[in-house]
Amino acid sequence: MFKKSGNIWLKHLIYQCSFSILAIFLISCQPDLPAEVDQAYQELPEVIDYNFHVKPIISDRCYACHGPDKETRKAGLRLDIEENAFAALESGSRAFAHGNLNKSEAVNRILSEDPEKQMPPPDSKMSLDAKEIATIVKWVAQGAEWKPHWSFIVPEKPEVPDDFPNKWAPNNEIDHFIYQRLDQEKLSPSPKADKERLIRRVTMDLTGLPPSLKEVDAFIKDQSAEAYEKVVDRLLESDAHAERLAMEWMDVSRYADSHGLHADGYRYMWPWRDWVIKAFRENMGYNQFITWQLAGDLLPNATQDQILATAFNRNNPMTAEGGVIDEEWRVEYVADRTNTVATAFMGLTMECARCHDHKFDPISQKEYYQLSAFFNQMTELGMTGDDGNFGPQLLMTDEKDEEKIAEIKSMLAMHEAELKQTISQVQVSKNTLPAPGSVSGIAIYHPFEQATKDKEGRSVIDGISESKSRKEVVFEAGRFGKAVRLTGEYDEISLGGIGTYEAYEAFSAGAWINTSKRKKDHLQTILGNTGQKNNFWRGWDFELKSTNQVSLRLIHSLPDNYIEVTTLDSVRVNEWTHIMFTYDGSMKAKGVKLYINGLEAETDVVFDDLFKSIYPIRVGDHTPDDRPLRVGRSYRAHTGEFGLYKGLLDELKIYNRELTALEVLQVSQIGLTPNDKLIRGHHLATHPDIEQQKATLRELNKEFLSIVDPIPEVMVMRDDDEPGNTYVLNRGQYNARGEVVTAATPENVLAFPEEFPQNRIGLARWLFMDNNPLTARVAVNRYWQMIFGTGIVSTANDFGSQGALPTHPELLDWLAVDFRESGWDVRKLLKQMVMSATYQQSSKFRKDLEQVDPQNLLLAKSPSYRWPAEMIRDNALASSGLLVKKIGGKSVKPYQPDSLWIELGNFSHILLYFHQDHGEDLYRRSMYTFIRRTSPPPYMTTFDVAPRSVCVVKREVTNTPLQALNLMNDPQFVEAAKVLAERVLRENSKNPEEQITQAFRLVTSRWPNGEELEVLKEVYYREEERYEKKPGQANELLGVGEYEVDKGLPFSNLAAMTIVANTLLNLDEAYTKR
Amino acid sequence: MCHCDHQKSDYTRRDFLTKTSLGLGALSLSSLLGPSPVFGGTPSINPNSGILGQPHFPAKAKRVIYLFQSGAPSHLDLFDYKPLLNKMNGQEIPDSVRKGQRLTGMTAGQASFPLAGSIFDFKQYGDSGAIMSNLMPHTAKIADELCFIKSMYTEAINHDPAITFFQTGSQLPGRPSIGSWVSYGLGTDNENLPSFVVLVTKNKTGQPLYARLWGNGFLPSEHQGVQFRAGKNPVLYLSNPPGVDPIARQQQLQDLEKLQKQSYDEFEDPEIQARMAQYEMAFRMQTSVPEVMDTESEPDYIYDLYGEDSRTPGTFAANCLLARRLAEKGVKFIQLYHQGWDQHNNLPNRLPRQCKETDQASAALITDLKQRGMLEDTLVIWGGEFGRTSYSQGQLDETFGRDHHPNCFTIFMAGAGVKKGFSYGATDDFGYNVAENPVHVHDFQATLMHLLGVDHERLTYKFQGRRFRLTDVHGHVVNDILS
Amino acid sequence: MDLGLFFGRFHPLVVHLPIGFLLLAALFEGASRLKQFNQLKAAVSWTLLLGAISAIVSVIFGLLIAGDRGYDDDVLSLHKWFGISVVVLSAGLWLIEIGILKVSSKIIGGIFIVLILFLSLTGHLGGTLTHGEGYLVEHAPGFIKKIAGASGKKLAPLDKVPGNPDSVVVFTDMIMPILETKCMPCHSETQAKGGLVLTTYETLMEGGDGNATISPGKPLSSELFRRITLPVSHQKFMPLKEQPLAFTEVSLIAWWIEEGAKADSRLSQSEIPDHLSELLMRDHKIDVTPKPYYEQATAPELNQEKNQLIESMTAFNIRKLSAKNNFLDVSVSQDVKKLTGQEVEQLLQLKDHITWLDLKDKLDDPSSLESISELSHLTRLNLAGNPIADDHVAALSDLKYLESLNLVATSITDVGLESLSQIASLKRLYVWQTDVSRDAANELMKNKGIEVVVGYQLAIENN
Repeated sequence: MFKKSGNIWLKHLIYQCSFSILAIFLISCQPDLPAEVDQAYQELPEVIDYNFHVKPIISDRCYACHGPDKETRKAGLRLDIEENAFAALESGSRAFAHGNLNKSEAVNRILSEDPEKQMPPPDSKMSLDAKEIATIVKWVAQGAEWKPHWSFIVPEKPEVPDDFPNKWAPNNEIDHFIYQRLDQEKLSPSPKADKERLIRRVTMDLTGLPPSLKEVDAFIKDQSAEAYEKVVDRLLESDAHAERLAMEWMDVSRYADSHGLHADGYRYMWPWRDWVIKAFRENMGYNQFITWQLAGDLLPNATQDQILATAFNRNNPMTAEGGVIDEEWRVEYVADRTNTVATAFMGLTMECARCHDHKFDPISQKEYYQLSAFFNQMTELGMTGDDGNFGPQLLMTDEKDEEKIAEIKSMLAMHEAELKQTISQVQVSKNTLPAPGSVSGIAIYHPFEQATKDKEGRSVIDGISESKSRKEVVFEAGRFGKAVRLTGEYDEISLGGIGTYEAYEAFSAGAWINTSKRKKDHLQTILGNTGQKNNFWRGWDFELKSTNQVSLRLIHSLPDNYIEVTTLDSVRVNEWTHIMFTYDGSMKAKGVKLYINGLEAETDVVFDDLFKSIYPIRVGDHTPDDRPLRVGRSYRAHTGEFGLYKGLLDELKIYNRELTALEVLQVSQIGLTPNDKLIRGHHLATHPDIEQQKATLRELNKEFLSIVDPIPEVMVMRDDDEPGNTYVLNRGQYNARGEVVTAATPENVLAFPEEFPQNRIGLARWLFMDNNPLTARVAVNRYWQMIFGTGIVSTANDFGSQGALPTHPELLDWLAVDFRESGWDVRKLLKQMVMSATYQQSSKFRKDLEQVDPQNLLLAKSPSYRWPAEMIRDNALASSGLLVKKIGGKSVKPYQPDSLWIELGNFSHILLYFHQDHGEDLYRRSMYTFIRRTSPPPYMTTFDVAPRSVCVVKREVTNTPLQALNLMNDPQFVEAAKVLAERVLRENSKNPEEQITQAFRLVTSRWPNGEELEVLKEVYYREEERYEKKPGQANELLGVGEYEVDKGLPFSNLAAMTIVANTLLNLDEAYTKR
Repeated sequence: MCHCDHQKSDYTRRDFLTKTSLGLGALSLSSLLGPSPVFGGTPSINPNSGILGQPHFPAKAKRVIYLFQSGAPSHLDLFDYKPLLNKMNGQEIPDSVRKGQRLTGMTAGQASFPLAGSIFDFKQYGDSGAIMSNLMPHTAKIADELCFIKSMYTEAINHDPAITFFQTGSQLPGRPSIGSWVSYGLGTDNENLPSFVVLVTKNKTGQPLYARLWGNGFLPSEHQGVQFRAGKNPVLYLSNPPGVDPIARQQQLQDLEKLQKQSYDEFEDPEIQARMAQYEMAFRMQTSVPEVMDTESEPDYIYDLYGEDSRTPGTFAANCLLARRLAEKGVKFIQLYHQGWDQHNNLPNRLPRQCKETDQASAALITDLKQRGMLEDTLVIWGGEFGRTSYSQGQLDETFGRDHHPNCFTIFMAGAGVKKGFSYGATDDFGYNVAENPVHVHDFQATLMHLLGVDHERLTYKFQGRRFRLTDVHGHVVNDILS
Repeated sequence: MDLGLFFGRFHPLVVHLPIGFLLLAALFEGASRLKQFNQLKAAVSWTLLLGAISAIVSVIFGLLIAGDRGYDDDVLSLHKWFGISVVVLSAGLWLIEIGILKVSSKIIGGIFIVLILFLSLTGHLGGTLTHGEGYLVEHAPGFIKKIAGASGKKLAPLDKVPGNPDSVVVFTDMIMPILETKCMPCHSETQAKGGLVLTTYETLMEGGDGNATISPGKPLSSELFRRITLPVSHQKFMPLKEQPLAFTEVSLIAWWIEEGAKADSRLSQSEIPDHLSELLMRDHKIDVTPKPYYEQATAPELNQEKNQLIESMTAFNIRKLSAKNNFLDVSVSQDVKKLTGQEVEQLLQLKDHITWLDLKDKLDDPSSLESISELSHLTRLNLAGNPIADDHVAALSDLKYLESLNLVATSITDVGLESLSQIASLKRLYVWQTDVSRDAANELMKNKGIEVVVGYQLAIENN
C-alpha cells in the first residue's frame, strides 16, 4: 500500500525509532552504582561463588527477617530457599532475577538511600559495606547461580590433586590438598622444623606431656627415615595419649565433679571418665565410642561398661534450689542433652530453634523437639538434692561384689522355693479363732483420748511421753471414744523413738480415718518418716494419694530405688474408714498388703525396685537419723506439697511384725466375723516353720543390704517402658505444650529412616549412616583443630550458614570419607595428620605471609599458639619430676587459695570447705583436678578452661596479666621450680652451667644457645650471692609447697637455681607450641 | 566458653591485637604494642576505649557502683509502705489480688496465706517526703539524693535464675555480666586496675553466689570481673612468693625480657611481645592494687562516716569505702554483693540486723562521693533480685517470714543522670502487683546502659551466628527518671 | 448544588477532544505534504474546526473548575494561558485553512508545530495540577530523572525551625511560617479577605471583621482555630486555597493559644505537652527535651590535623564525648605527677572543643588558671587538691557555660565564693575541705540557686 519511495523512508524511520528506544532501555538497565561500590566492584574476584562469597553476607544481614523463621518473616520473602528468593512476591517485584539487576528488587533496595526502602532497614541497626554490596550486585549480574548449603551435601571422596611443584615432596594426601591451595595463592610451604622442636611438638600434641630427655636424644641420634614414624607409633600406643584424648573429651561432654546450679553439691561421676580413658586406650572405633555413650543401655544385654558409657548424657548441670518447678528443670536437662548432641556430633546450633524456627539454618522448632524426643523417654527429677547422685543409676559393682550378690541371690531363691514348698505341705490343725485382743507385736497404740502439756508447752498425747504435738490437740467424738482433729495448720503429731524400720524388717500399721480433703493435687500423710530432696526422701510413708487412694512407699532414693503400692479404689470423704498395711520385709512389692475396712484391697504396683536401705538419714552429712514418725504431715519441704492431713484420726496401731489378714480384721474392730479362709490363712502364716523360714529370708535380705548398700552408683540413662509424650513447647516454656511429636532428625540434614527404632539406638545409627553429611566432617574437623589449633572450619561448633566456611573443602571431604571408610579409626586419622609434611613444617613467622594470610589459615607454616591449661601445668610437673603417672581414679584437689568455696555458697555440705589433698594427689595430671562448676580452680579459669556448664568444642586462647601472675607466683609453679632445681643439682656435677643446661632442656626439650646460657648464668650468680647474704629468704623460698627438699644441698645454690627454674617456666616455649 | 569466629575473622591478627579492649581483669593483647617497641622501655599506654571507641551519646555516668543485696530485701518493710496490710493483718489475701500467680514451692503447700503488715514504722523524710521505714535511718537522712523505682518486676521466681537474670540479662547461665559488657564496650580509664572489680562481703551465709555472675560469658575473657579479696592477696597470686623481694623480681623480669627477645628474633611472633607486656602489667599491678586496697591512709572521720565496721576488711562497710577509692582511681564498674536478705522466716529479727550492716555504709558512700564532687558522674545502685510476699510464709507469729515475690519490688539509685528526691512507679495497696509504670529488669539494664552513654541495642557481640545483647531483644530506656 | 463546579468537573474529560482533533489535523497536514497523501489536505480544515470548537468548550469548563480549591496558583495560571493560546492558534489556523487569512505553507507548518508544543505543555501542566509534581518522572530510569531534575519533597513550614530549642521563639519561628504558607495568599496587606491581615503579630491579634481571631487562653473561642478545625467540606473551612493544616500544625496553634498566644515565649521555657513534643520530633525532628549545653552547641569538626595534635599530647587522656559529638573530655594521664604551665597551654589549641576538664591534684602553679579560663566551652571543671586561692578563681568568671566547679581541698574562702557567684550558668560548686563557711554557702544557695556542697563532717546525729 505504501508508495515504493516513501516506503523505504518509512521503514527506515521505523527501524531508527525502535533502535533508539531499545538503546535508551538498555542504558537504563544498569543502575548507576555509587562511587565506592563501583570501586569495590573492580577489586572483586572474577567469578562470585554463592556459598563462599554471597551466602555469608545474606545469611548474616538478611535472614533475621527473611530467613527460615516464619514468625518474624517480612514481605513473605524467604532468601534461604532458592525458589522463594527468585519468585515474584505479592508486591509483584522479585528479590532476585537471574542476570537482571533492574528487576532484582533486592539490588535496588541495598543501593537505595531512602530510609523507607533501604535494606537492611536502619532500625535493624545493620548495614552493608561497599564490598558486600558490590559482591551481591556482581553475583546477580553473573546470573545469580544458587548452590545448596555446603555442609548438607553428602561428602564424596575427591581425587587427590597434584598440580603443584613436586619438589615440595608431600608425605601424604593431606599435603597434596594443602600444597595445591598454596600453589594457587602463589605461596610456598616452610622448611621442615628442626628435630628437637618436632619431637616436643608431636609429643605434647599427642600425649599432653613433654618428651623425656632420653626420648629426645634417641630421636636425634636415629638418622633412619622412619625415625619420626617410630616416635609417632610409640606415642599413639601410650596411656598418656589416651589421657590426652580423654582430656579434650571432658570439654565436649561438659564433665564436672559438682552439680553446677545453686547449691552446686558433690557429684560422683569420675568412673565414667575412667571408661573414656579405657575406650581411647583400646582405640575403640569413634562410631562405637559414640554409640555406647548415646545408647549403651539399649544395646542387647548391655554390659556394665556399655551402661556406664551413657553417663555422658548425665553430665548436664542440675539444680537443687528449693521451690523450683520440677518439670521446668527436667525439660531443661532434656534440652541440654539435645544441644550437646547437636553441637558435638552435628556441628549445628540447634538450641537456637528451642523457642522459634532457626533464624539462619533450615531447622524448624518442631524438628528441635523431635530431636529432643530421643532424650525425653526417661523418668528423672528436675529438683534434686544438694549433694549426691540421683536416678536412674548404675551400681558400680566389681567382680568380688558380683560374686557375693550372686551367692546371696541364689540362697534367697532357694529359701523362697523351700518356703513355698512348706506352705503347700504344712497341715494346719487348728481352726480356732484367736481371741481378738491377743494380736502380738504391738509397738504403739494411740486411742487419742486425752493430752497433757509438758514443760515447753507442747501437748503429750495419751500419756505416751514421746508422742507430742506443738499445738493444742483438738479432740472430737471419734470412731471409738474420742479422735484427734488435724487441720494441717502445723498441728501434726510426732511419735518419737518408733518407726525407723529397715527394708528387711516386717511391720504393719493402721488407723481409723475420716478425711475432709477434696483438693485434687494434695497428698495426705497418715504416718511416715520419708524425708526431702536433701536426704533422698529416704524412709517409708503410709499416705492417701491425691484422689484419696491408700498407698505405702518404702524409699531409698527417688526416682529409681523404692517400692510404691496403692489401692485401686479410694477412701470416701467424711466417712469413718479403717485403713491398714502389712509388710513382710522381703523388699518386694508383693510383700506389701493394703487393707480397707479390715479387708484386703486390690492394689496396683506403681514401682518395685528397692535394693538399698530405707533407714532415714540427716540432711547435709547423710548420717542415719532416727527422727520421730510423723502423723498428719510429712517431712517433705521445698516442693510446696507437705502431705497435710485434714480430718479426724482414731485408734492408731503399729506392729513390729507382719499381721495376717485375720489379725487385721480383728485389729480393725470393724465387727465382721472372719471366714474359714482367713482363719486357715492365719494359722498357716503363724505356723512356726513358716515364720522361721520367713525370718531366715529376712536375715538373707539383711546380709544382701550390708553388701549392696555401700556400693556407689553412677548416674546413667535408662528409658521407661512406656515413655510419656514429647511436645513442642511454645517459646520453650515447659508448660506451654503444643503438638505431640515423635523422635526424628532434621529433614534438611538427613531424614530419619522409618525402619530405625525411635530411641537413642536409632539416633546413634542415624549419626553413622554413610550418607550422613555431618558426623564425619564434624569429628574430623574437631581432631584437626586438636592438632593444628584451628579447624578446617574454624567455627567447630557451627557448620550452619552463620558458621565459617572450610578453608580446604576437598581436604575436609577426603578426610571425612577416609575416616568413615577406615572404620572410624581415630588413631589412623591422627597419625595421618602428624605424619603430614604440613605438620612437620617450621613454625617461624614469614614476612611474605604477613599480608596474604596473617591468621595462617592456609598452613604455609606450622601453627603456633599457647598450650591448653592442663598441658602447661603437666609440663612443669613433668620437667621437675613431680608428675605422678597414675591413670584414672577419683578427682584430686591440688593447691588453691583457701576459702574460695565457702566464700560463695554454703548449701552443699560435702563441698562446704575446700580440703586440699596431700602427697601423690597433689601432683596428678591436670585433667584429674576436681572441677567445681560455680568456683572452678582459679588456675584453670585463668588459662581458659571451659566452664563445663555447656558442651564446648573450642576453647578460647587469651593472654592476660593474671596468667603472668599465675606462672610467677602460684605455689604449684614455685614448688615445681624448686623441685626442678633440686633435681638438676642432684643429678648433675657441681658446675652450674651444665645444671642450667639440663634444666633448660627439661623445660623446653631443646639445647639453649650461647646467649640464653649467658643470661641464665647471670641470673644464677646474682641470686646465689643474694641468698648467701640472706639465707632466711632462701629458707622461705624453699618452704613453698609440701615437697621437702634434700637438706644436704646448699640452700643458697638451691634457691638461686629455683629462681632460674622459675624464669624457665615463664619462658615462651614453656607454654607455647613452637 | 567456645565461640565461633566473632569479628576476629574480619580483623587481621594485628588489628586483633590492637583492637581488643584493656579490661585488666585479664589485660589482653591490647594496644600495649604502642609506638615504642616493648623492649625499648615501658610503652606509654593510653587507656583504650573499648570496641565502641566512644559512647553512642554523651555519657551521664562515667562509672557505676552496684550494691547488690543478694537474697531479695523485703520492699514492704523498707521502702514501699502499705498501711492496708497492717489493717488486714492476719486476713487471707484475696484471690482477686493473687490472680492465681505461680507460687514458689516453699509456700504453695500452705493451707492459708495470711496478710502480714510491716511491724516497723514508716515516716516521711527530706523535702521530697520519701516514705521509708526506721530500719534505714542513715539512708533516710539522704532521701533527697535518692531516686526510687518502686515498680520493678521480673519473671524469675527463684534465686539462681533471678540473680543470673539481673546480672546477665538471661535466666540461664552462659551470658556475660553487665560489668563485662561495659568493659567490652567502653574499655577502661585506668590501665593499672581492672575495669570491672567485684567485692563480696566476707563470711556471710545465705543464698549462694557464683563466679559466673561476674563472668565474661562468651566475651573475650579479658572482660571478666576480678574479685578483690580482703587480706594479703586481693588478686590471686598477686604478691611474690616468700623469699623473693621486689628488686629481685624486677631484675628477674628484665632477664626474662632478654630471653623472650631472642625467641622473638627467631620466630617474630607478635604474641611474644604482647605476652611480655602482660608481665609488665602484672608487675605494675603488684604496686597499684595493694595501694588502692590499703585504707589505713584514710582520716578517722571517714571511718566514723562509714561506721566502725569499715575498719575491719571484708565487711560491707569496708567494701563501700574501697568502692569509693576504686571509683577515684577510675575503675568503671564496681560490683558489691551482700548476702543474707532471704528472710523466709524470722524476718522481724533478721531484717533489722541485715539493715544495720548496710544502711550506714551505703548512705556514707553516697555522701562521701557527693562531698568529693564525684556523685554527679558516678551512678550508685542499691537493690536485690526480686521482692517478698505480702502474705506470711509459715505461721503469722513473731518469727514469720516472707516468700519470694517477682511481681513488684523496689530498688533505688543515686547520682549521675537520675532525678534526685524522686520516686517512680507504684504498687497496688496490697504491695502485690505493679499499679503504675512497670519497669522490667531489661528496662532497668537499658536505662543503666543509656546513662553510660551506650545505646543498648547497638552494643552487640556476634556469637554462634547471632548478635547477642545484654538486654537480649527487650528493654526500653525509662526516660522519666533521667534528670 | 454548585452548577458551575458540576460542569467544571467535566473539564478533564472534555479536554481530550481538542488534543485528539488538533493532533490529527497536524498529522494530516504533515502527510498531505507527500504526494501520495495530498488528498488528505481537505480534511485538515475540518478537523481544525472541530479541534478549535472543542478547545473553546474545554477552556470554558476549565475556567469553571478553576474556582475549585487547592490548586497551586502559578501552575494554574500558566495552564490557563496556554490553554487559551491553543484556542487562538487553532482558530487562527482554521481561518488560514479556509482561506480567510493568507499565509505561506512553511509558516503554516511552523504554526502547527507551535500549536502542538503549546498543546502538550498545557496537557502536562494539567497533569501536574491533578497528580502533583514529579508524577511523570517518578519511575523514570536514573538518567531521565536526573535530566528532569525531579524536585525533592516540598519543605513543610515547620521543617525550617532552627535546631537549638533555646533560640526558638514560638510565634516568630513556628507560628508565622504556617500562616505565611497557608494564609498569606488571601490574608496579606495586598489582599485582606474578610479584612483579616496575618502578616504580623499585631495584625493577627487585631483580627478581621468577624469576632476575635485569637482569644488568648481559649483556643475553642478563637476564630482562627475554629476555621482551621472545621470539617474540610464546610464552607467556612480555612485555608481555602492551600492544603489543609497538618494535625501537628493545628495542635501547635492550639497549644500556643492555650499558653496565652504570647509573641515572645521561647520554646525551651514553656511546658510542652508530651504528645505535641512527640509529634514535633516525629514530623519535623524538633527535639524539645531540655539538653545540657554540650549537646545543644556543636563543636567544629575534628580534622586530621587536630587528631594528630591529640595523639601528640601524651600528658592527657583525651576522648570525644560521643561518636557524633566533637566536644572533648580531658583528664591527665596517670604517669604524669604534675602538669607544667606549658602543657596546660597546649590545651588552648583545643580551645573550642574541651567541655569537661579534670585537673585534680595535677596543677602546681595556679597561674595556669589564666589559660584555663580561655576554654570558653567548659561545662565541668575539676580543680580539687590544687594550690588555688581566691584571686586565681576570679579569672574563671568569664566561663559563660560552666555548670559544675570542683574546688575541694583548695585554699578558697568566702571571698572567692563571691566572685564565683557571677558565673550565671554555675549550678554545682564543691568546696569541701576549704575555708568556705557554711553560712556563706547557704547564702549563695539561697539567692543564686547554686548547690554549694560544703561536705557532711559529722552532721549526721544518729538519733
